[in-house]
Amino acid sequence: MEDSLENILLKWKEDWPIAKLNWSPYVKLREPVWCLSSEEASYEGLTGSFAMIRLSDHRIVIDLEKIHKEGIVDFSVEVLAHEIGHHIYSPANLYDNAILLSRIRWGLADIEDRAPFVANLYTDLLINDTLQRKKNLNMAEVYRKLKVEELTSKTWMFYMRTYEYLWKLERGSLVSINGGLSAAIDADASLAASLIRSYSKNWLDGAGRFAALMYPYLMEDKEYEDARKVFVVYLDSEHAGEGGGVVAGLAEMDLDGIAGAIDPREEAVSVHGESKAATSKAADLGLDKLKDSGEGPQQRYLDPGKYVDLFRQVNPKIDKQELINNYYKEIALPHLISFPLESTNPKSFNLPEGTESWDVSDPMDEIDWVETAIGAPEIFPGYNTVKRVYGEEDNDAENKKPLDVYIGIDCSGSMGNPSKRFSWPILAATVIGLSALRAGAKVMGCLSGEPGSFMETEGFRSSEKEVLSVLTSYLGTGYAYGVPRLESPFGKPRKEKSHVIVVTDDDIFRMLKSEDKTNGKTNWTIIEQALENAGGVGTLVLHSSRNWHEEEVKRLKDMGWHVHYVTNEQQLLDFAAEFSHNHYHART
Amino acid sequence: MIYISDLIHHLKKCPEVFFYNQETHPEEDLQTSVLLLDIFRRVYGDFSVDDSELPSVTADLEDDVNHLTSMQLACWFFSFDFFKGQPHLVPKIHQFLFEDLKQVCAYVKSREWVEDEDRAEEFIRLALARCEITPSGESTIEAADRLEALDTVKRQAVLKETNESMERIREIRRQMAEKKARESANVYSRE
Repeated sequence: MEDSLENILLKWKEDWPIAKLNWSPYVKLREPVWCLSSEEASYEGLTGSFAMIRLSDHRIVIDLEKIHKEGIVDFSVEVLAHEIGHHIYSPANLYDNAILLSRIRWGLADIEDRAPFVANLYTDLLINDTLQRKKNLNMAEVYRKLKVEELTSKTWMFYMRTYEYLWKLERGSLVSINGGLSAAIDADASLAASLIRSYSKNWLDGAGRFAALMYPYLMEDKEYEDARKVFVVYLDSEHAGEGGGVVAGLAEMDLDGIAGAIDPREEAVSVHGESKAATSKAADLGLDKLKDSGEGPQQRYLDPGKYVDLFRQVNPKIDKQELINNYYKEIALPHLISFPLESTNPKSFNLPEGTESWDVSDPMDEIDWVETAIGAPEIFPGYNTVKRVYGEEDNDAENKKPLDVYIGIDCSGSMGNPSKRFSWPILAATVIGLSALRAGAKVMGCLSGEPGSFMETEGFRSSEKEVLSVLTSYLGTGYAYGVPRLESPFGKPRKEKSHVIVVTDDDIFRMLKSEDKTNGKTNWTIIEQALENAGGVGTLVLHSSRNWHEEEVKRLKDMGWHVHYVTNEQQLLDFAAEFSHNHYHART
Repeated sequence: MIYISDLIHHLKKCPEVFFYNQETHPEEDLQTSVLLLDIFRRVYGDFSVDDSELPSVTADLEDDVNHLTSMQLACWFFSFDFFKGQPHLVPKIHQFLFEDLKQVCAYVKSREWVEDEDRAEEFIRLALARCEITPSGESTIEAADRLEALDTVKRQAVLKETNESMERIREIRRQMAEKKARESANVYSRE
């Protein structure tokens, strides 16, 4: 067995260049990871099937023991060309893989968890059809060799009948016609074959239709489980995106994808080729309502829950916090101000401060020959050579830098969890935080829901990840932002000045009135001193009405606080953009 | 000996003028009936045969532009040399034109017969089946099975039936989608 596997390895290695040639002589792809045992393959993450792809490192993994066991040793070119096809045709890269899954999910309402399975079947159809019809490889024979036992899975029948249609094979050559191949399955397969051909070039556009076609076959859990058992040996790209990090650009709703989730059965029921679906399209499938379910600015974005679900399928190993950070960052980016131009060097070393000995290890051009010659008529390098020393020269005009910013967010019980539902205050905080970081300022973020708990960065940070990880977290405790939190950065006057922003609502006045004293100070004292110690501009963003708490607001204004009212959530974003622009737009 | 691939090649070479109709070229004096009689004569193998010897066409012609254009395309198709001089095929071709083609034209646009690979094959197999001709390299059963697989009329019937049950699924989907939309509506509100 061991010996024959070695021979198989040699044969497959020889056939690797031939498989690549089937696609293009210019294909640059590393040789597959050849595993001589299934145990070895399992270590590489390959279980169930005999081959798989990884888009994260552009690799193919081949389990030669399984290939031997399945009796497809002679189909090295077919199998390898198929895997190469996943890398250079469909899904090809992490981004297209993510878009593919996103589009398939729109066609699988409420059973979105099955999207990777459908994506794998869809891309296999596209690749195999290309290889069989255009490259003359015998993909049909691979399926015959791998033919599983007599099956009753409708998904299997539908899928294999599709191949029969695609390759004009005799009925029953790939799937038993005695296994319950109904006229409906036959009709669906015919539509699938037509779809695969029509969308072979723009395959992303056909993904939603394919998903809609497969929907009834996967709706029932039992049928899906049965199908998985049958297809397990073929599933080679279900986890292709694993380990691939965050893919940018997926927070926005994919309207083309939604519009493309049309059921081909609807399209096909036609009179003179004018299908009902062509006129009713998404509206008929209730998808127009899905479009309206967008979140954030102009309702253009997925809700964070859907975004996280999608990414969990694209890359199951991804960190959820990283995703949420990226979600708010993507939405915030169009609202950031343009990066300020660095025009000067804040300090220069050009103030002459005398001389010191020049050592032989110093650069030759640093020797001050005039001073050296003045000191001694005979020059001995390293003994009596000197170099000029320059001191630091301050330049007030050039040294100015943007003020740091403290962002306090009310994260009490009334606040939604930003990882589950889109949050305007968190978006506003993200816009301000990112704009400040871009301008070179440091940011301190603090979530507070008190009495209860709080979470804050370790002082003022310049790391985007640290700042966003705090701002996009969730507490859901207490009733308001805890004013004593301002003591942490502003208990004493800060060396570096800072702006202070607190996003909260009317409950802040209840908090301010609270009799509890921290370090013997009332909350009114704390908020007043905090602003004084911060040295910058203090802004209270109130989700409230101008007519409420007029007296308290006047008292805050007298202290120097700016009070910015927002009566709807979108105004938070407008405020954030305005604030970023006013305080960070120009570094003069 | 007649191969499907040869016929597909011939059908796809159909000159554009055969697709002219009253809608696309109102200025032209288009006479589908003349074209039909011409092709009957060619298949008959005698151009001097009297109209009365051929099946009537004018009485059967309706105003369905798609059907008329498809019949013009069929005239091109039957101009293939294989059909020349086989008078026994004339009534069968007439039946194909006025019964089979008419029925399927309710679902397929005339352009699709040349632009869609499956529809082109369906057109050819439908015509051959009506003429009781088995393509070379196939058994009668194989040919019938292939035609059945491509049969638009049959597929439409199945799909209409399937769509009734699919309608229920869509309704469930629609409700689920609405529910999700409601749930995901921005519920950020302050106490």
